[in-house]
Amino acid sequence: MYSEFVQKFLDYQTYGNPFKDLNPLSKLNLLLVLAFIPLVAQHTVFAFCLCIGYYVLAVYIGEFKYFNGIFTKVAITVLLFLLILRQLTVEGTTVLFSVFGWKWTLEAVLKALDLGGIILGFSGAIILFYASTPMRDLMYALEQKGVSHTTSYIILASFQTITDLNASVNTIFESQKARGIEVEGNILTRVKAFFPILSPLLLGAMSSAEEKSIAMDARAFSIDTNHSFLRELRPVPRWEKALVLGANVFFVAFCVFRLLQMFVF
Amino acid sequence: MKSMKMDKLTLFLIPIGVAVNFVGGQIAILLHLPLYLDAIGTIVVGALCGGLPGAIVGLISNVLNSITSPITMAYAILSILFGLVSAYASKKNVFKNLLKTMLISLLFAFIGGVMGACITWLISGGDFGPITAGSYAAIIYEFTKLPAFLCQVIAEFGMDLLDKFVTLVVVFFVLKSMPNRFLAKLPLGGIYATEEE
Repeated sequence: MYSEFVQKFLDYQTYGNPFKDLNPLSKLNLLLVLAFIPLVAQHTVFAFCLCIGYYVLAVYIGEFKYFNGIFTKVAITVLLFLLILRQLTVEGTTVLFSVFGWKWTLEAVLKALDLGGIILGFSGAIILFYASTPMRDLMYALEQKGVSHTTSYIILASFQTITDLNASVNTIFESQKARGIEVEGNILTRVKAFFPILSPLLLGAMSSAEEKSIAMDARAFSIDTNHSFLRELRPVPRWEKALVLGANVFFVAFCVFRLLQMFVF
Repeated sequence: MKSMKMDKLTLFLIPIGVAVNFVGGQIAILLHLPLYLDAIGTIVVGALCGGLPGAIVGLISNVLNSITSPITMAYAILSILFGLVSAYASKKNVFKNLLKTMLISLLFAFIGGVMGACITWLISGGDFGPITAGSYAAIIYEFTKLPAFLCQVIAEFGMDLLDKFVTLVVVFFVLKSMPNRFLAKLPLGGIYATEEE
């Protein structure tokens, strides 16, 4: 009766992958539990194993390329900084090797990996969340929980505006260069070039906000009734609620156990 | 944010403030500047629309930044403070005077540098953090042998002072060049309206 295009909006929006199809808030909850476990556990090997787990999950949901692209950059930056900086501040006795007389010790490397594991364990969960959840689905789930549609608009419009202004930056940059503005040279010349690039961009964007506010009001943006949705996510099944509850109970119990381990045992 | 009441134009300026924060950083990269310049949108929106919209711009910018660098989430409080402080400074007419604007960069640098260093210190387990300022701090530490935390503070404050100085000068000229008909529609816009001849 309906065309294929219309039919896909009549059904709940699913991705055909059990993890991706979790409600965005359930997914956020589960991944936040994972993100904070390395901090509570304080166990380097576990933290790095968790990172491998994130990779497995990324492959499973078909987002390996996205996840790997961001996570690798974060991992290289964090580990490189920490490994070098800890060699300066941590005094160790077990020398691993020497670079032009600079002795790298095992103690400093272990200390760097301790913190690196916690940061990467946290970062991986957050990157995986963004990799598996489109922002519009997250905002839809938040609206279902009572967050106003204005908040959704702000977040989603921010993404669109970043894309729009990014496109304008290159145009303005090239135009100002063609008009003879120096964009190369010493730092003062380059700082001065910042003004003629940013000013037209900012002022143009602000005046467009005025037009946008009139257009949005004309389309009943401010009306104070429940809004309808073109795309709807499936209702949260019971097993998913139980899974989230179980993860939270486990996390609280694990925190209590770690506290007892530190202060009592 | 459910009960948040803001006028429409302020609401539509928030995404622009967020985008300007990103684009500012991108222009800095295009010009090979050793600066972040990622708080211009927060400060402009704070100065024109008030503390809450400014703080929201700062918070959203940090959340969006965390997509590619989750560690920046820990610094969200600083961006929120930038928005609040810029609204306060705007109400005190600070951004109408270039000298006062330059001087207040010290306060912004204190928030970004000193408070930022404290956050870095906390999340790094009481040692240099895995951020650019950490490498400068390590160099200062090697040459001066000052306490490590003090080196982190000096490095972050120094980097932020230069960054916020340029940021605030940009903000001053942006506010100065706003047309009156636009300023009249914003909550704090009246502060920057010039008398027409």
